[in-house]
Amino acid sequence: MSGVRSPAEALSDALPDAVVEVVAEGTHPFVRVEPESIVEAARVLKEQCGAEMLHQISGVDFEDRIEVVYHFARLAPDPDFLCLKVSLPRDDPVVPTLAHEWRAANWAERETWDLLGVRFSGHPHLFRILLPEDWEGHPLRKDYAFPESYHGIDCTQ
Amino acid sequence: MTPSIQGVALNQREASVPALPRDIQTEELVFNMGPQHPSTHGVLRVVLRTDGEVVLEAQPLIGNLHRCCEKILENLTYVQGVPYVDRMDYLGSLNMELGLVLAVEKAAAIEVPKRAQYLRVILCEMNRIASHLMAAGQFGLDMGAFTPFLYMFREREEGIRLLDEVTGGRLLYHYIRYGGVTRDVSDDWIGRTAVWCDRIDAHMQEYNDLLTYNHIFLNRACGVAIIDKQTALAFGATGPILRAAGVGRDLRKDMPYSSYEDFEFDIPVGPFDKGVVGDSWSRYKQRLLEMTQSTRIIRQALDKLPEGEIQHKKVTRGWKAPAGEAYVASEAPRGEISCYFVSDGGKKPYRCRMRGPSFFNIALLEETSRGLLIGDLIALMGSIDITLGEVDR
Repeated sequence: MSGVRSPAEALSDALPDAVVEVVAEGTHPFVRVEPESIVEAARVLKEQCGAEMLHQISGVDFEDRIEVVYHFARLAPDPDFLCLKVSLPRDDPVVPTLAHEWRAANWAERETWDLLGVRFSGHPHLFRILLPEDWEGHPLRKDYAFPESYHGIDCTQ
Repeated sequence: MTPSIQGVALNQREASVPALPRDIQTEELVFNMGPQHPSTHGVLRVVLRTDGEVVLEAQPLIGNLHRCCEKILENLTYVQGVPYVDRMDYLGSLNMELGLVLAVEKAAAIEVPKRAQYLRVILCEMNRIASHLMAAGQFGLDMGAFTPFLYMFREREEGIRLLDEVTGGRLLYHYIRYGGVTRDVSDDWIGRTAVWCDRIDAHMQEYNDLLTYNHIFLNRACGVAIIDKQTALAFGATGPILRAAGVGRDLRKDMPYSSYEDFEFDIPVGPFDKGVVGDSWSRYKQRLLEMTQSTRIIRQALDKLPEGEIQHKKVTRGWKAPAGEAYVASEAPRGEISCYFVSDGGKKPYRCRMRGPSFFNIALLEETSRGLLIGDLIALMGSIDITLGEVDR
């Protein structure tokens, strides 16, 4: 059984070129990888670190870049969350989709596209999920301007 | 013109639908179930493509209740933000508050006094029982049993009143604060809560007689809409759905928070005495069994409730979290709520990404509903037990 390797160790061995940053200590350990390697990195977590479930995909707008943060859940042994991050340019954030291997990624990525404007290349169905189809902009961007009206409905009050 | 949903024509997806036995070929119909439909438990719109009574495809379209809770949290100070997460899962509000507060406390390394941790456990478990009573009762309603719903609401009402007495709210509490809780409980309240726990356990037999082992209900729910282990894990489904599918994952046991490690309790895992693993009946039964475990936890916590302060003194109005981040998940009634919290050291959170368990659970609908009868689709939706406020956030 090779179910309990740490993500930092497993990824450094399997994909040495893809690992950008490793934070192993503190309140939130994570491994930052190159965006184009995210699918392989997730596979390494599944095969070597026991990640059985994609728990959450988050996006954070840092004004100079956008980060997409993946949390995988290891159920056993030693239940824990394993975190991968990718940094993307803010003007055109694109990262390969995980939806073909992790079905939970389908909706989670749609939500990240909807609210933060990150495109997931190869996603089978990348449409808005929470907001209406004709909504403009992505609200969780830090420079998002709230619309003054929507279909003639005054939004300023 | 072929109807399309979010850019994909419905007939393009036909290839993915398994061949169904069709004795009588009928015309395919596409229609909306919801957003105003009693058995969608809120404002969920499901687009159905059916052949007679058989569902060929069911696509949930969500977002009717979207408020962008995460953006609201970014625009409010720390103390102002907590009551907003109550509104996500309005049937398990205390568990939602806990989800946010735990992440911030971990990032900022705030210690919570032991008495406050126990009070959090007691009230969150009471909230879980109230939520599960609602879920089980509503599932009965969906299956055509009206009376058990009223019986379950009788106990739920008493629980809500006990919560109201401590927190001042019936559904939306704003009770948990960073570093503790707001109000302490009285000895009298502790006594009455213990009595309430006994009543829940005593009435469990009544629920079983009225609904659980009712012949009609068994025929209606056993073996219907099976969600197996692999599907549940692949879709990120958590909570009663995952456990009824045979996976013994419960964060209260696996990654204990808020002193859950101090208490003895079991994690019920499917299959149970009727039905098959992962069917609608197992998901219903799972909730009943979890209520019994919750009363066990509450009794122990009431007995052992330590003396001391209920809120860490440092956390007051102008409080700021130091720069940092954390990801903490906890077990809400409908599954795992988690918060990915990022702070830049300012007065407001930089980012609070909330995971709504129902959001991932309802994504199962499209996969699991193929080939079901329309009536069984109701069983599936009722037993998944979603809260739209938390799906849409």
